[in-house]
Amino acid sequence: MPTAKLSHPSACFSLTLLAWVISGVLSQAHAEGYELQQANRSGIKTEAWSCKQCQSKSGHSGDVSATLAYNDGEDSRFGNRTGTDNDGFVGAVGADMVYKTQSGYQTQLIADKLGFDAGSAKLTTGRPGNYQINLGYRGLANYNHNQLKSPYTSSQDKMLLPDNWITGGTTQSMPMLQSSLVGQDLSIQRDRFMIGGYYAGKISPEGDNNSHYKASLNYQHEDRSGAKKTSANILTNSVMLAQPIDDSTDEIDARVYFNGTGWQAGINSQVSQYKNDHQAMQWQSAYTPTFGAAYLGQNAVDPDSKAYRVAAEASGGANGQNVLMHAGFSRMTQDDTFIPATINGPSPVLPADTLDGQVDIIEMILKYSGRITQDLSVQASYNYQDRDNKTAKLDFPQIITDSINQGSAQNSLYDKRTKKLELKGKYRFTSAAYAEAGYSRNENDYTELDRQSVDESGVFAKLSYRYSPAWSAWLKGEALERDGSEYDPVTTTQSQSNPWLRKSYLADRKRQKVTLHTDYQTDIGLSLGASLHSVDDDFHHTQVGLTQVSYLGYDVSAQYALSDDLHFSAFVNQDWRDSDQAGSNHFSTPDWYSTAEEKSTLIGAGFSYQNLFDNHLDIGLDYSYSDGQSDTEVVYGITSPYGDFYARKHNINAYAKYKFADSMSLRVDWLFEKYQDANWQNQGTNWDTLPNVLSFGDMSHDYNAHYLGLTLSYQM
Amino acid sequence: MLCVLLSIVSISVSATPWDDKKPEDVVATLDKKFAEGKYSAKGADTCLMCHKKSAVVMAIFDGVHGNPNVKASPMADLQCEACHGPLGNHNKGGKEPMITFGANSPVPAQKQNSVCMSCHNDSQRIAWKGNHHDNADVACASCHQVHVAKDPISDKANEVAICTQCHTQQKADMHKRSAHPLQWQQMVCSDCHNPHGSLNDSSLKQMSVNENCYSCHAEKRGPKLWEHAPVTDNCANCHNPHGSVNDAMLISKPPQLCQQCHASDGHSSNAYFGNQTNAFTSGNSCMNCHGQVHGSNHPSGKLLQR
Repeated sequence: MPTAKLSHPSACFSLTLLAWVISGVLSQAHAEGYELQQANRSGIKTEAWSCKQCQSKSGHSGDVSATLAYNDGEDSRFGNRTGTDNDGFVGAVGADMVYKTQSGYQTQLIADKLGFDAGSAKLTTGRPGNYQINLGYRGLANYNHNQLKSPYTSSQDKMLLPDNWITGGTTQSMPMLQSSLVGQDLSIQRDRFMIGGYYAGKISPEGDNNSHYKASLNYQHEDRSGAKKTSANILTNSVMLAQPIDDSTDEIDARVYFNGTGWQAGINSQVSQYKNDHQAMQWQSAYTPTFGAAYLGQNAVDPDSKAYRVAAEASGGANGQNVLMHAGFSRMTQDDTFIPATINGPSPVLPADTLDGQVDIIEMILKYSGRITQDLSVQASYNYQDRDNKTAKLDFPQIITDSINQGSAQNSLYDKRTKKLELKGKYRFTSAAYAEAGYSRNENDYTELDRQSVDESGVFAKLSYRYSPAWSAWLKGEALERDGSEYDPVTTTQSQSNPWLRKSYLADRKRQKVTLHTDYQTDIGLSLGASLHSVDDDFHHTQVGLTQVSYLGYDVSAQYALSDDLHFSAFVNQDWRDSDQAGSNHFSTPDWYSTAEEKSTLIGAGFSYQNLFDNHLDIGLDYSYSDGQSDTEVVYGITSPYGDFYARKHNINAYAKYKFADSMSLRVDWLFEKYQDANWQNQGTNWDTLPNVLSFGDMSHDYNAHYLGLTLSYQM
Repeated sequence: MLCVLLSIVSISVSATPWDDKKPEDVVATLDKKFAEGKYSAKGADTCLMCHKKSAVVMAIFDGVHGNPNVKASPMADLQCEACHGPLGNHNKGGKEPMITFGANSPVPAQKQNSVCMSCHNDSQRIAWKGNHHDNADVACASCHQVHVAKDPISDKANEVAICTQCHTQQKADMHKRSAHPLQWQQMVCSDCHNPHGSLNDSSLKQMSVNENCYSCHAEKRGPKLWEHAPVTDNCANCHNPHGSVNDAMLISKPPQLCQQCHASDGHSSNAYFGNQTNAFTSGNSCMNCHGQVHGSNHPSGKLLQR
């Protein structure tokens, strides 16, 4: 496989080659298509084009709705399905309304489940294609678990134990543990508020009719609240915590683009600011200190940060060919005040009050696509990206887990420079068959990693054939090989790395991918689809670490329209992902091996029947079953299988919508979910099962949950 | 949703009088007609003399494409013939082909799309040429409808269903134990991808995988004092964003996941048996102590414990 470096001076060669390819075809490329700008208007007499029969509608249209529902929120995980974790009766409103005037002015209101945690609403007004202003809200809710217990409660930046807590050397010797347990809710709510708009017009009212500009400005504010699972430790004693989340992100996006016949150019810029309401996470240790007086620990939280970016791009071409150029610059900064190195005793002096961190990213892209003949098209692209961490390198005192002074350590500054070349060609044998092939080269230069460079070359080929208007298929194969500079383990780690280890993301790898897909559509309303896909990763020079990953999957789907009103669908997806890795207990060549065999199944079927009872009733039902499981095994002298790891889910989504008046309808929705999972990491465990880990215990789910909703809609 | 999927299919397979002709001949005729530019005498009124009985045809007037008062709309320019090409002799028996749209149209996807891209030439589509969908001959009409009041794919309940008709691996992934909330459309594919092409791999909206992730997970952006090298390199080194059989969308489970890169002289090298309950295999596994896997800004956080 070719391994020519893209780095200087050969990068110049690659770019020269790219330029040669582009210039070589400039005079040969073929026009294509029916672009409006190319229309032959010489014979048009539009004086008679009055469009008397055009029936463009004006006024109000759409519908508004109100929903009252019963939601089973005993296990909040069901809320990911319904959009709310409230247990009992819940209410929401919805709308899909538009108001139009004959002059082209349009106002639209869309609201979905507004009132639920995952509700959304958007109001848009303006003249489409000319100007528009929009206001929006979007709620995103993630419910992990609401049935966990722990003795910890949160108060601002602190995780506290009860006042009467008595420490223990192990979890089993904490006398207040059982009586101090309180409920923990792991869920995260995002509330996004958006405002923005655009204005578009002709560049010159008197000039070229086809040259336009469009300027847009959008702002988004997002608040996040809730709690996430985390852990904190002092020496070898650990506690699991529901760390509170209270933060916000503000983003502005501004862009101006100009376009005309066959060209487009513009600049865009984004500013982002992240603010965390928490300055640290201080926590009381539940353990009796092993030595000293380490009753408290303090973790850093995600620091406030800023980022901005500016980019310019232009594309243009004619006669079936196009060149796209892009250049961008991003900067990420962070200057949050450091917390002390320890809160147990005096903290050593830090070399700086803040990190004053700065990462700059430069990116440049040149891409060409062109149609050389009616049947042959080619593409070439070169992508350069440079991440430069400009933060100062300083010595920071290392008070390990607020307990042990282990001297000082310097921060690592990870830089990455990526250069990527892609060449593709596509040849059409007939209108029904084409072949595509390509070559790619991806080079990455790193600093302070075990490898200074990691490069990957690949080739692919695809054959697509439409046997008949009803039946088509394509086959794609891809082979990639990753290698790089000499593997030289870094020496800045706390303890030395096994010389036989090849870290999986830096290791040599041979990858083979194959995908086969076929579609069949009959003229009686039946459409079928099937795919087969496989990926094999061979880490051929790895002795310790990940050595092999094999993925195989298939899917079959069918859709059938028995009539305009009665539709059926069904699908099956299955995939298997097996991975092998090796380790060494003796800091040498491999002496233990592990395998993980994952299997996933997804089955679904559904139907919808519309316009029953003289266009008064619509009904539908969808069912799906998913089952994902994983078997892990470690072999070290003896074979040791791990315990259960699976997630099984049945979903039913049924509805009936009855139109009881010209403009009124009532819809009933029934959602059902039967869910069960297990994880050997915590299955069957309790808060004090592990002597040195005060955990949440068994985190599995096992529930049957229902949602029954009534929605009254008014059609305008 | 099922109706939307099937309506796209049914539109693409609707019969035309020129179905029995070779696609090459149809295209040759259309090319010739387009070059000759023999447009109708009365624009849309000519077309509607025959086609006004079709509810699908008339539905064009429910949306912006059929509103002559919207300046950029085709109805404000060459009306029906803006998209379907010059009438030519089509009205003399209806046998002469017009430009049609959809997966089963005899008109190649690139030619179909050239009509749409005439007007939709904006920053969202600047990288359309040569992008994944363009290369795969995906016609705009495979996903979009214009003869409707509102394009169904603009409804988030339909978007994921339409995308996963072809992207079946992602459909399977999003139903797995841990996944971004695509299955119930709290998120949609276009939150991360630009289906009209981008300058990044996989048509991601941002310039790298990590920048794409930071657009929602800004808290992980930093830069932090102690970075975790594979995290800085690529979030996808550990996560499959479409979903995983494992928790937290991880490609593998700890401790084995961590041991793919950590085999130092000490506890990270050891074989951990499945029948043992200890701090390495239970609770949060390696993260019981090294909880700051996405990096730490604690002065003493080198080991990602603080």
